[in-house]
Amino acid sequence: MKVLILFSVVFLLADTSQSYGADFYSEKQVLKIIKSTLKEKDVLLVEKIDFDDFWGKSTPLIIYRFSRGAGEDLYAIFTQAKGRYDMFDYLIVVNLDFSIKKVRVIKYRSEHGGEIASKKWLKQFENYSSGELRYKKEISALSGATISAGSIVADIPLALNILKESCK
Amino acid sequence: MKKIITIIFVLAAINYGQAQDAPHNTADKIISGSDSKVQIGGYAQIDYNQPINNGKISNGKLDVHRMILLFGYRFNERTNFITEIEVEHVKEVFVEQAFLSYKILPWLDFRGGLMLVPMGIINEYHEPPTFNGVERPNLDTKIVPTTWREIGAGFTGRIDNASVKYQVYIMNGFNGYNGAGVFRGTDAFRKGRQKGAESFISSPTLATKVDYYGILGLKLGFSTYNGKSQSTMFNGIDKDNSGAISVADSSVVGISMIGFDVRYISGGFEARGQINFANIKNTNQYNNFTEKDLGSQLFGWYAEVGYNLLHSTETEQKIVPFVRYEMYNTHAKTDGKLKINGAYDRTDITVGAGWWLSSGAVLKADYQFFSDATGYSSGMFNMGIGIWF
Repeated sequence: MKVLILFSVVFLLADTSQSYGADFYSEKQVLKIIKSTLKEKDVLLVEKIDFDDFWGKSTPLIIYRFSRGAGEDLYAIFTQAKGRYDMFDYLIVVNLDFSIKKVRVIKYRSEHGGEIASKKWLKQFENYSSGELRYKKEISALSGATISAGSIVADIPLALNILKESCK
Repeated sequence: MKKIITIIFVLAAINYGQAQDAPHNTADKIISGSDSKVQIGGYAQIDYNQPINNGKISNGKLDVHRMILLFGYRFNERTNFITEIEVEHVKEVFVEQAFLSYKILPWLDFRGGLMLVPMGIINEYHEPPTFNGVERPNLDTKIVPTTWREIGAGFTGRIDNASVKYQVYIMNGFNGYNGAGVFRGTDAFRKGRQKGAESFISSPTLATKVDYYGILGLKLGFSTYNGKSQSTMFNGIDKDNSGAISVADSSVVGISMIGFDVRYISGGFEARGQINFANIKNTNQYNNFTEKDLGSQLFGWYAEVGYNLLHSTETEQKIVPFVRYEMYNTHAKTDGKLKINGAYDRTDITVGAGWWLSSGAVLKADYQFFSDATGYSSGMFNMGIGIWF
């Protein structure tokens, strides 16, 4: 009985404050996610990067330049790629030389394939800046997540290129 | 007057229809594909099986073995419903899955409904393009009775920092007795799957699985299943009638099954394997009561290796020759006077290849060598088409 009451309380108190749906990510959410991804309290959004002329896809994309801690500037790309049946949201943190600092899957929605959110697997993208990036070649396979893994591997160079074009 | 009213209704209906944003209903949404809340998918397996027996003529079998259509609906970011409608052998319709999931926290999802029991690889991942061979491994038929699903509820989630996925479900168990014994020596629990079809319950079971994928290319899984089989004999017994309860207890067995599975991919090389062990209590009483021959221990394993010959090319196609060796014994131990039946101690070797035209479409061919501990041997040539979208 106590267990049932505990589960009921967990259901009711579950994090309902987070806004799912509607807007892709607000400035407030962007800040919160960057801070938790980099484990950095001191983050300031410098500018929102305009890329309308380059992004031909219908999937959401927002790019910010931000500074952290002692004045280090970075870019944050928030976008989506296709999972098994649903889109998933992910973040690419990029150095000013356009090499990847970190990739994080923010929300994974499909029932299968969530393994791509593994920090260990996503670490493979760090330091990538250009050149070939192929699933099961430069990036290791991930059993049970083939579609999502192939999807993010194909998507990351595209998103990175948009940032490069926008900053020219 | 009636005509005027009819015309007004028709005009109103047309106007209402035009005023709504298409699509109007679920069918429209699915057909138009314009609403991302609706998910559709499916998989199918079409087989040709040709038994090869020395000295005997055997008919081959051509079968649309299974065709499954998946429909899902995402009510909001937290709430999702998934169902899979399965048609087996063209004419037998089943619901393979039908569950609601609700994301409580990023690492904690509630899931309830008709769900797959997380045991081994194939029971959860059985879409034909995801495995080598026309047919599923026989370990995953005789010991893990794929596709094994029951109604239940529980929790699942991922811990991304640790590269771990977990599943914990309370589920309905096998039907072990419904007026007569259901379990048998050759395939243990297979006939006892209730599949959520007017299933009955006398005691719940617990199914768990933990997957670890923190080493690149490697995935490890550990599964457990514990509980009693279900029996109709308890229904209507007076709670104080210890004699009747004691008799009914003879119609039930206690099941403890564990599974360990591994999948590894590096470059063009791929390998997978699985071990399953089940300890079954009360089989002596069960067999005496039902005149069945259920073993008290089941044990089986398989190991498989393959290599993608097109790995070094740029094509998305794959050609993967493979070999699978499997042993599975549903009479690893027996209890009481029941003698071990060597025909249930089987060894299969499967050699073949698959040609993936794309990641979701594959043509397969293989040959299977079957043998058992009695010295019997036979073979089967298989060809198949597998799709997944």
